[in-house]
Amino acid sequence: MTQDLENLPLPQDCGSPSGHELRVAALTVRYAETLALQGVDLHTHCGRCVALVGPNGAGKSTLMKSLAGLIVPETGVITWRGHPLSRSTAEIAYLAQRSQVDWHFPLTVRGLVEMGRFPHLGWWRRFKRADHEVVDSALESMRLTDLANRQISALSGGQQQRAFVARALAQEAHVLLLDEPFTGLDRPSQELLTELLSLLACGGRLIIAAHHDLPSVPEIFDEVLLLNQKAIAFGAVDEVFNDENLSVCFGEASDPTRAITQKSNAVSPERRPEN
Amino acid sequence: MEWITEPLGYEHIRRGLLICTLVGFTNGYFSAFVVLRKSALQVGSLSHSLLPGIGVGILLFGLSQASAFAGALVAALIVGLGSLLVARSSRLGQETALAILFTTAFAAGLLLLEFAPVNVDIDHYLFGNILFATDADLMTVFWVSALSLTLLTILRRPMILMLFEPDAARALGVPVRALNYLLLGLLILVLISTLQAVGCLLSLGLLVTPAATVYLLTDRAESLFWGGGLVGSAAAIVALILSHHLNFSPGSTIILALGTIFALAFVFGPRHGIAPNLIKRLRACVQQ
Repeated sequence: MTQDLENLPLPQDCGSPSGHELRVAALTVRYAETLALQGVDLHTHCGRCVALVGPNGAGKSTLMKSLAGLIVPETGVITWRGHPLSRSTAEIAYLAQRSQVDWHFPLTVRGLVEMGRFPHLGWWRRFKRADHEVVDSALESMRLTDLANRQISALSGGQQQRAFVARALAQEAHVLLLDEPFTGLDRPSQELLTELLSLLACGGRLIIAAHHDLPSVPEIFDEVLLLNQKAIAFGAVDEVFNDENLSVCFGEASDPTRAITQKSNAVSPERRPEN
Repeated sequence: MEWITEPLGYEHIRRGLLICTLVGFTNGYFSAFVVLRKSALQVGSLSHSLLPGIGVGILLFGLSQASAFAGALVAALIVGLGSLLVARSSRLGQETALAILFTTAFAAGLLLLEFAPVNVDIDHYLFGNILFATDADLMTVFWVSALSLTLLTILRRPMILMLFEPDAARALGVPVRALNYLLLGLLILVLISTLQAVGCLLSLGLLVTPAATVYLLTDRAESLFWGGGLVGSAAAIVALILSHHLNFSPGSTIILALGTIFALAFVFGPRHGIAPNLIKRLRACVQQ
């Protein structure tokens, strides 16, 4: 599986530049007294893989929750496909950090993926064949078909993360917001997830992920937002993901490389004001 | 056979069995919500805080079902909302606040009932007595059961989403806050209606143990609801008949029956039970 990685077309070659547009303008979010995000701008398209990078408490989760419609910003506008986003939509899927999920909940992988059909079925309508087919193909594309009847705690970290991506696919989401999807995964699981996510981006989806492990940013993502309350830099990875911007972002101007090495080892969950 | 038909000859036992079926099923069904929400402790506190409300209700308006019901409802709301208020506006967690409020409320209730103009037996409020339930009790239990089972069944899909992952549920379009309040309100209603029929300790047992038992046996959240209902009513019915023959207190017998079923599932449950796992481990050791 992982050796196919090199044969994959680069994501920027296959994402359609005219894909659906996500625009964030001057987004400011405040929790009681604490300022979480200040005037953040972002402009990207479906077909891209975007990393959110920044120190703990930089507002990565806050930004994703705002995009998911879970947090009402103080000021600023989020525009999705040309319309201001006023509340949550099925087209944008939010995937929480794995550490925040109750894995012992009595739920199978298939049951989890079926939850993604909720926006389409509503509170009562029964599953039809078309719904089952969507669920099947979501499981298939995340390589989980054989594990469909497992209880979710009986999966590896990588499989758990893929199960949640499969739910977003069953939801027919265009935008996937992932909070630290690679944290705690071993190398093979990381590579498989990278491959599958870039396939999804090629297929026209927009992947936005908070990411801790700085050295792996270039191999996984094609755009990056360096965030520390304010947007420090946003753009293609090879343009803005450099030591200069990183040192501004992580506030360690004296030795920017230290920021990279330190952050790559950090696996501690992000401390956020809402918790 | 006669062992079963003989008790059915008594009217109070027939009515008791009817109440057992209704209360057992409704509470068992609702216990899925309590277990999945991980709020057994909160329900325990709430059930005990109903006592002062009943005391005040009886003191103010005399001993009637309506007065006790209204008093209990007000008490539950005061303690429930009060704990939220204390938790939000001080450094204490909600569970701490709840424990303080409910012990205070329970003590106040005991004192109040001593001053009540009628002779109210405290045991009655802890364990109740199904065999002395009135027709009015039966009607209340019936209507509350009908209402809560209907609503819970209608709301099951969004409810399970919310219980599993509140944030994702909101992102998927579930009105999480409204749903949460509605379900908590319904829970208090169920608690009060069963409290009158079977006492607060028994209603607490029925609101936790059935689904907790099924939890050990299934990987499907939906099964917790029906399974919990079946375990709750079956345990209550069997225990009531047993208690008649053994001359035990019905309330305590029902709780013990539930505890026994839970213990059996805990030890012998095929997937998560400790005995099968032990056997698996022993086998692995022997093979090595």
